[in-house]
Formats: sequence, C-alpha cells, structure tokens
Amino acid sequence: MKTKTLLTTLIIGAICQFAPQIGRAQDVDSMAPVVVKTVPEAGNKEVAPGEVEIKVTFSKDMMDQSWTWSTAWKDSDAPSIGKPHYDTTHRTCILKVKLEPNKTYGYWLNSQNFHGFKDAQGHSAVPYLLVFQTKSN
Amino acid sequence: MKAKIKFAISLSIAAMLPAILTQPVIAVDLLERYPTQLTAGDAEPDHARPWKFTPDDLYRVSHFVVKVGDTLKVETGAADLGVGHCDNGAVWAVLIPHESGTLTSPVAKQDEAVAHVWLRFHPGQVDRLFPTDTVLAGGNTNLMIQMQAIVNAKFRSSWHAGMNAMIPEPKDMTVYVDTKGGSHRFFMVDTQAKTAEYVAAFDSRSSQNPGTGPLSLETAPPVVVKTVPEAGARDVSSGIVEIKVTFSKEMTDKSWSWCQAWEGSTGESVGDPRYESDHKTCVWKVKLEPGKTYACWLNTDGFQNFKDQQGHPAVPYLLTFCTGAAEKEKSEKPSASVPQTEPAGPNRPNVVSVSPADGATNVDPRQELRIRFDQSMNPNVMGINWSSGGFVPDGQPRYEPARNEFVIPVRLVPGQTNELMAQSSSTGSGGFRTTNLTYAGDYRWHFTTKPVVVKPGAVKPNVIRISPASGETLPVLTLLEITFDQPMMPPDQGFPYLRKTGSSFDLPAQIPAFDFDPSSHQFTVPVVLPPDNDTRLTLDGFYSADGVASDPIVIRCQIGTNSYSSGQRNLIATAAKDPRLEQLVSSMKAARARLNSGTETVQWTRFFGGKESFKWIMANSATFKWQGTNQIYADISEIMNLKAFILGNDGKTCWLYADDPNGHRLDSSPAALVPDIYTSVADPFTLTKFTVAEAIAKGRLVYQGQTQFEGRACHRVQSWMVRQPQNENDRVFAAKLEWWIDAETLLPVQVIENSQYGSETFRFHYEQLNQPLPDAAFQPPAMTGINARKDGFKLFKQETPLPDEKRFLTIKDGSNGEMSGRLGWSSPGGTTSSGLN
Repeated sequence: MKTKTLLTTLIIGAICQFAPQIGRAQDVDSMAPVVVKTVPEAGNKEVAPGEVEIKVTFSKDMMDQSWTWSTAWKDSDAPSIGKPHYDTTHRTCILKVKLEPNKTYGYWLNSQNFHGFKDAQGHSAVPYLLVFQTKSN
Repeated sequence: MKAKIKFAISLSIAAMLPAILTQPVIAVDLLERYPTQLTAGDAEPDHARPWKFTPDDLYRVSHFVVKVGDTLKVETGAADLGVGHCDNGAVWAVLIPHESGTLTSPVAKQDEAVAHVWLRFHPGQVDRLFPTDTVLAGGNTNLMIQMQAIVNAKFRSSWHAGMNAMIPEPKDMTVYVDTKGGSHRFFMVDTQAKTAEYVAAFDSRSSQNPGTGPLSLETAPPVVVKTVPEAGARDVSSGIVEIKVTFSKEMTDKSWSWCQAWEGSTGESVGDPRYESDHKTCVWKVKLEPGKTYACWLNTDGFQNFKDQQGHPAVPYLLTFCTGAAEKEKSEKPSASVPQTEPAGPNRPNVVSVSPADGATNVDPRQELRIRFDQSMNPNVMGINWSSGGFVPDGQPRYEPARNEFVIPVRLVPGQTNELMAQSSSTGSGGFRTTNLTYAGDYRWHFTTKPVVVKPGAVKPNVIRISPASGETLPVLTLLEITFDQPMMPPDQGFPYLRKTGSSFDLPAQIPAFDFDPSSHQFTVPVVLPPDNDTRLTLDGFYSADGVASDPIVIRCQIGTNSYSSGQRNLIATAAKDPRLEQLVSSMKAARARLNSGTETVQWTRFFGGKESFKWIMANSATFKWQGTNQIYADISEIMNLKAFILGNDGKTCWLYADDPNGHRLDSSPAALVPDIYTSVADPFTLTKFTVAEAIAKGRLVYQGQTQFEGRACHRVQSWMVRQPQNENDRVFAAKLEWWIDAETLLPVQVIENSQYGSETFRFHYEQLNQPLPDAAFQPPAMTGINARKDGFKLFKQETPLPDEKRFLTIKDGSNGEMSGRLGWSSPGGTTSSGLN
C-alpha cells in the first residue's frame, strides 16, 4: 500500500502539472515582485573576493528603506559595509560586503517569515535564494 | 419536476458556525463530528475524495501525543487543530502548538522543537489521534490562512491524487513534522507493526526557511536566474511564443512544474516543454492572446518538479507579464505618456484632458472620470469602452458645459489596468460629437487602480448560509441570499459576479442588482435560471471587509418552470393591496388622462459588457411628442446612430423618415390602413389602456415609499419582471425595474432597468405639457428628391395592404423599461419593418 501511494506521487510528479485555481485573474501591477537579476548571479563560482556590491534587481519599483537580507544558514552572509540602499531606478537594491576567498555565501531575499522586500504598493517579493562562491585570491 | 439536491453540503455545515461559537466551550467527539462508514483503505486514485476545510473545522486540543514504538514520538501541549474532511469523514489534520512541542526520532540526536504537525490517517482513526476529552470547540479562526498554507505545502506528500484524498488503511498514517529549526521530518507510520519509516527526501522541500544547514553550490536549491520574457514585462508579443526559464544549475530533464496562478493564466500550451542543450534553460511554447496578463508559478510548495540533477527542487518563482494589444490595435494604442487621438479634421472636437491621467497608477477605485474637449459637445451623447479593467456606475454621468467636460462617476475594479477608449461614432452608436454632428475621434488612455489591501491577520470569509435552502426547486428568477461569517465589502467595492459560461445570451445569468445588508453580512444575488433544467452556479468575487477573497461558491440547482418563488408571489400579491400603491397609480392615471399633449426628452444611458463589472457606457437621447390619442412623434436618430431616424403619425399618415449612408428615405402609410398602432409616452404602467387594478397586477408593482430625487419628492415603485419564451426563437428575459415618479406631476422622472443584459437608466424631461402643438409637429421633415419606390427603400410595397398584410407602428419612450420606434408590417410569412426594438 505504501509503495502504491508513493508510486502515485512520483508518477504524478513527473509530468507537467498545473495547480488548481489559486487566485483571481490579476494584472502585472497587482502581482508580487520577483528578482529578475542579481550580481553576482546565483550559482556563480568565480566571484572575486574583497569589497563587492551585491546587486539585486526586482521586476517592479520597490519600497525604499525596506528589505530583508537573511542568512541562508549560520554565517552564510558576509560582513556588510554600510546599509543596503536602492539605486535611482528604485528596482535595484545594493548591499556592499566584504567577501573572503574560497567561501560560499548565501542570502535569502525575503523568506517565509520575513517580507521586507516589497514593491511600492506593499506587495511582498517572492522569496529568492542567492548562493554564490568566491574564488581564491 | 422532482426536487433534488441543490446546495453543497459544506455550506450547510458552515451554517452551524454561529451556533458553535456562541456555545460554552465543550469537548468534541471528532468521530461523531466526522462520521465514517469506511472500515478499510482505498488507494485507488480514481476514488480519491475531494475534501473541505472551513472555520467550522478549527478546534483546540489540550494535549497531543503520537507514539510509535520506541522510534517516534511527537508530543505537544495545548495546540490549535484544523481538520480536513470528505463526505466519508476526516482525512487530514494540522496541529500548531501554542508553545511547546517536541519530536523525538532517530533522525536527530536531540529532541527537536515542533513548529507544526501534518497528519494523514484513516477517517476511523480521528478519535484515537485526538481523544474526545482533549478536543475543544472554538478554534482560532485567525489561523485559517496559516493552516491552509501548510495544507497546500503538505497535501501532495502522500495518499493523494492531485488535491483529492486517498484513504490509507487504518493502520497506516503519515506524520510530517516541520521543526522550528527548519527541518521537515516525514514519517510513514505503520501502527500495527509499530514502525515509523523516515523519508529523508522531504527534508529538502520547502527550503525557504532560513536556518537550514550550510549549503554548497551543489546542495543549494536551484533558482531562476533569467526568464524570457522578463518578469514584469509589458507589451510582450502575442501569438506563438517560447517562454524560456534559465536556472542556476543543470536540471533534471523532462521534469517541470509550470503552474497556473489562476485559471487560464499560463496561456495555451503548444507542445510539451523541453530543456535546451545547456540543461539549464527550459522552453515552453505557448499561444498568447493580445492584451492579456499571464502568470505562471515555476514550482510551488505543492509542485516541485523543476529540480536539479541531484533532485533539489527549485525555489518557486513567479513569472508575470502581459501582452500588448493586437497588431491592428497596437498601431492605434497610446504609448504610456502620449495619448492618441485620431487625426484631427477641420473643426473636429479633440480631447484636451482626461482624469485619471494617462498612465496614472495607484488610482482610487472610486472616481469621477473626466473627459474634456476643446469645444462644446452634444451633452447627451457619449460612449466609453474598457478593453481591460471595468467599472460599476456610481451616479449619473453629466456634462459640464463651461468646461466642455463629461463627468462619469464610477467604481473601478481595484488592482487592474484600465484601458479605455472614448469612442467616436465610427465604432458604434454613442460616440462623442458636437451638437452639429461633428464627431470626435477615438481617444485611448490607461491607468491602474489601487489594489485591495489585505489587513494583516485577516481571515478568509466563509459562507454560513445560502437561501433558498437545499431541496427546493428554484424559480426562473431566483433571489439567492448568501450570508458570510464576517463583514464584507459591498458589491460596488468587491465586485461579486456569477461566472458565465457561453454567450451573454445564455443562462444562467446574473441581474446586476445585488443587495447587501452589512448588519447580517448577507448578499442578495438575483439570477436568471434556465427553466425546467439543472444547472450549476459558480459565484465569485466576494471579499471580506478586510480584503480577503472568499472561495468561489458553487451551487447545484434544479429549476422548475415557475417564474417566481412562492415568497415573491406572496410579496407581489400583498403589495398589490397596498393602499398607497393603489392611490398612487389611480392618481397617475388621472394625471395622465389630463395630459393631452407634450414634448418629452429621454436621456438613455446603458452600462453593459464584462463579467464581474461593466465594460461599456453608452448614452444617447431621444425626443417624443404626443397630442390627443392619434398624434405621435419619435426622434431616435442618436440611438440609431444616423443623421435622422424619425417616425410618427400626424393623425392621417404613419411615416418613417431616415437619413442613413444610403441616402434619405420616407416610408408612409395612411393611418387608417395601420390597424396596430401602439404608443406609450409618459405612461410607465400603460394607464392610458389599463384599469388601475390591471396595471398593478400586470406590472407586479410594489410600492417602495417616497424619496428625494434631484430636489423633488418622488414615489418609488419597483417590479421584478420575468418573460418566458413564447416560441422556440424566444429567450427568457428577467429584469428589476425601478421607477421614480414625481410626486407633484405624477410623471416618471427616472426608470432604471437591470436585466441579464446590463443596466439601463432612462431620465425624462417634459416641456410644453398641455400646450397645443401644430399638426406640422407630427409630420415628417420637409424634403425634396425622395423617390422611395424607385430607390427600393419602400417599406410598404403598395398603397393598399395585401389581404394578409398587417401594418403596425410602435413607439415607446422607455418609461416601461423599453424604448422602441418601429414601422412595418407582418404577415404569416414574417415581418418586414424598420426601427429600434
């Protein structure tokens, strides 16, 4: 019986799935913002160590002075140099940090419990995991 | 016609909520609450059962423990409990400890603190898991959303077929614990063998919680690093398009979860998705329609098939974009900052400003739309069309001559981009124009309304009662009463609607005259149902006052052949005996009999199109004159969108004069040869023909009392009209009619008709009452050069009707809810006529 249940799960999971209707038709303005670009890019293994600006660009104009840069695990963040800030586009948030060589860094940009990144209308951004690795000196 | 099941069982269960909440706290036997006949499991996917979860299914437990041999123990103190149930009993439970809770298992060296517990079990086991003396009624409804999120994330982990529940054997159980440390502990439990098998794969799910163990680039879940189109893009090309999503890692081939954000939000698939050779980019070819918003979740908590080659599910990502208008329209579409008007011709009126401004964002949904022209305009004619967004009227449109400005009070649908066109006559009747018939060009602009803001901690509203009750055969016109468990947004802010299938002519349909009683949280929703039929209604768009949408309300119903319910018939019969109504109608009849002549201008405004809101406003005016019983005149040129469309009877000749693109023409017949002349002007209840009692009975009139309308005292009268088909080509028509009758003149000043086709307002202005009008006022315009016979436009083929030819003239001013102007003839072979309605 267990085998059958798990098998069902796996078979259903292997095909293209469509969730049941979970919301009402909306427009772009009313939808949650998402990350459209990061510097460095998630998965980059060759990030130069030293003082680096981590840049996160969202799909919408964002609320100023509001963000959630969370550690993805203990000590996954780098020492920051100053506060984060948005550039003039209001879409790109910049955090200056000091990166050590040969280390993996991870940030949750929003999470289940923290929703500081939000657009100008107050819609919380969809959580995003930024993990990258520095190269040696 | 037998009465059968009408309403979903969940609704009747939900109706018990107030009773439960007002009871003292008592222990609850969950097996009694969710009885089951099932004694064995049923893991056939085809048998999987839909389940329900309402605020009525929330409880508190004083203590909870599940222990499996020496391998697994989950124990909590006081906790909140949510129970999902199908028709055969309880199928799942969510437990959220108030404070403490521990998981003891071989997976971790030390006990782990419990964040919440997900349980799947056989329905007969519910009272063993939650003994009666530990369960209390009156759970915390504020936890509904959190529990639903847990259900969404966990349901597909076991014993499921889609979102339906399969039934495990009584000995089998799933215990799935999320710890406060961020771990996801999934155990397959066999209570008979006393084993708990840990499934480690689930610990990588839902990895959005910070606090998980250190990650490397290899163990980190993949994330989306690029999409084409980019999230948030506007003006994406429509047609067959490849959507490309690039992840941060190489992905498992042939595995993906492209999930709808709402029904139809992903576009129409054109072939299966595939990965490109880099194994990082997944491509899905879809067909996109112009002018539409698309949204797609790439993985969700419940669907996690975008995964890397090690099986780590990708972090969910929301890709949203919208397509531009169709190519033909695109060339006409305004840019964000430069509204477009058709090229101005000599003296052509041009829009000089609009409000809200083009490109405005965060616009308050309650607005006075303003459209200002550079010259004086015909104040009675307008036409606006929404290609996206929508509205409900919030007052009567008006024209401010000093500013050459039209003002249209509306309630806009929140959180939507409104694309509007102030239209010229070229796109239909009702185009803006000057009084000398110089038409404005089309003018388009757009703005975005403020979305509904959900208050923190707000709870989803639930239906606690629907009337008529289950088991009744419904009449064609049914006034559904839907009661919620909390304060709701009124219909002009929340935009509830009946989901339509088929064309706008098909039934079921709603009548846009929703009532809402804030004190009881009750909506009254008039619907027109197909006679002698079964149907399913889905009502949507109900929002709590705190901004949370309710689930769609699905009602299965069987309809009889009665037009009205017995309650409505009783109400109509009682209202007919209301002395105030009889007195009013008698006075109206006497007043109308005293009116020998007059001129009447009717402003006709129509709101129609759209599903949850309207998408069109069209306004025109018409002029009527009458004298005695045999002289009548109707100028309905604006409504017919022609230079002239006028018809009448001067007492000797019935005639129709039209000036259209084919030229001008005049059709006429001696009045003596027109046996069927029906005219109704300033006579809403046909009192020139009926007795008072007949008018009240035929009109099903209900007196509503007195009110003030534009500074004058008015009587209000209401009627629900149902017209069932008289032949196979006929359609059911139902409407709510409301009259405002001037208390002094006893003439109608306003009529509003809400029907399944939209909402119409008629406003009446009178002049020259009882002043003698010359015969010339009832004759066609003087003209030359008409040779109707030669032109082939002649309506009547000969001077004298053929034996089976019955000529008619119909003129109605809209005071009974229908405006008409038509001249022609009928015979057994059909009808030949020209005119409106």
